[in-house]
Amino acid sequence: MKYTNDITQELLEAIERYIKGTMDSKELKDFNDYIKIDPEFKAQVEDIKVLLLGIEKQTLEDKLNEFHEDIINNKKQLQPSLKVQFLNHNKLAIVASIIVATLSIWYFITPKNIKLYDNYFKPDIGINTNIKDANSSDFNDAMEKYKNGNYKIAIDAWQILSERKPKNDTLNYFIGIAHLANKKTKKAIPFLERTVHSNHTFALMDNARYYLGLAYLKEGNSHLAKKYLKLSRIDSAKYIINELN
Amino acid sequence: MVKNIKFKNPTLFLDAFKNNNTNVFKRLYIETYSKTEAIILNKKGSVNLAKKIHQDAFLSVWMDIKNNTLSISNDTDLESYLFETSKAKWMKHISNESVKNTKPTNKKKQTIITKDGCFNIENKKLKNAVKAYRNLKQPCRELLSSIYFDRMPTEELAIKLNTEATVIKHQKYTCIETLYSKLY
Repeated sequence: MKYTNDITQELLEAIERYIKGTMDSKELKDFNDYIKIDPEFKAQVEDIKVLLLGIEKQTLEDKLNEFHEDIINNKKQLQPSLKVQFLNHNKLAIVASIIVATLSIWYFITPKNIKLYDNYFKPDIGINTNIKDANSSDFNDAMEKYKNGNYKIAIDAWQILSERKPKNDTLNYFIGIAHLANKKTKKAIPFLERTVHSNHTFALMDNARYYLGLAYLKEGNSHLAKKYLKLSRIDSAKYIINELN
Repeated sequence: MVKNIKFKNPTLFLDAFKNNNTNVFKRLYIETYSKTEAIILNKKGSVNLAKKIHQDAFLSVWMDIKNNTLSISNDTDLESYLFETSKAKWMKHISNESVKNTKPTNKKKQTIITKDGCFNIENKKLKNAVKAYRNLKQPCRELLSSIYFDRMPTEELAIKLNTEATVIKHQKYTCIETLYSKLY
């Protein structure tokens, strides 16, 4: 069989819809008919499936390595210092039991909602700031600070802009997330509330509802947490709801 | 610290696998790794080997779920299943090592026999796809992983990258074209 790797953008989009199962019944029937009569087309569809699987597989491998780094870093933090290594066994045992006791106490006294929050909260990655626009340069500068983890500086800069544009969804959204990342949940909630209750359609609305749900979760308000998590179409939201039930 | 929160609903857990939920992956990976490491270190294996075995097991469970080759019932404990997979891979490694130590290696005789040739062709193609993806330029890799692994909608990605959805679609197409040209 002669394989060809020429593919048009339209065909790629169609194959993607086929793989995702989002074709309507007529398109699906035509597509399946075409697969039956054209082996070359069938091979192309299989090729695209393999390519997409390859992308996912390698991305997952990269993620597993990141998780592993986390394990190593956590172990390093828990390792005793050099001084401790020179203590005698009895002292070492005491230090070890204190560490274990502290961690156990922490584990048992930490409410489930905080554990869930810690497990699921990850700040939004931010948005691209390549566009050279004089009006947005202050916003972009703050976004760079945010991306570098300087949440307080980013919040201060965005709040100045927010005073001029209190209804700007993007600003409210990122101020809210920055407060969450800065461990100021109570301050985050009004900004995220403003975002989710804005009248027009905000492109990151699902994310805003998800983060607002997380914020209420951390504050111990399971009712409001569930309300906003249910409204969000972010995948993780349903896992949290499942664990809350 | 490892958080021991149990998954109550295996179907939802499977759904998380199918949708590549990174949070769920991370939790499962971290919660089960220490057990894998313990059995491997106990038999004089190394930490690096424990990492490799655990990651291989994770990827193989992920592939089983993707290919719908894992049967799930309501009482299936996927954490135990992952650990059992790691253990099986470790046992296979030990037995391969003992074969290596007792018999001279004859590579010509080590032909993998499969029911038909398809599996090997598909497997080779997947390896080529992974290799081609690894060699892509970083912006292409990031874009493709956001679209196909994180399942980020084009419109959302366009906002994040301060551009139009049509631009994203075209960039995605160009990246896939490059990838496709390296598949064979």
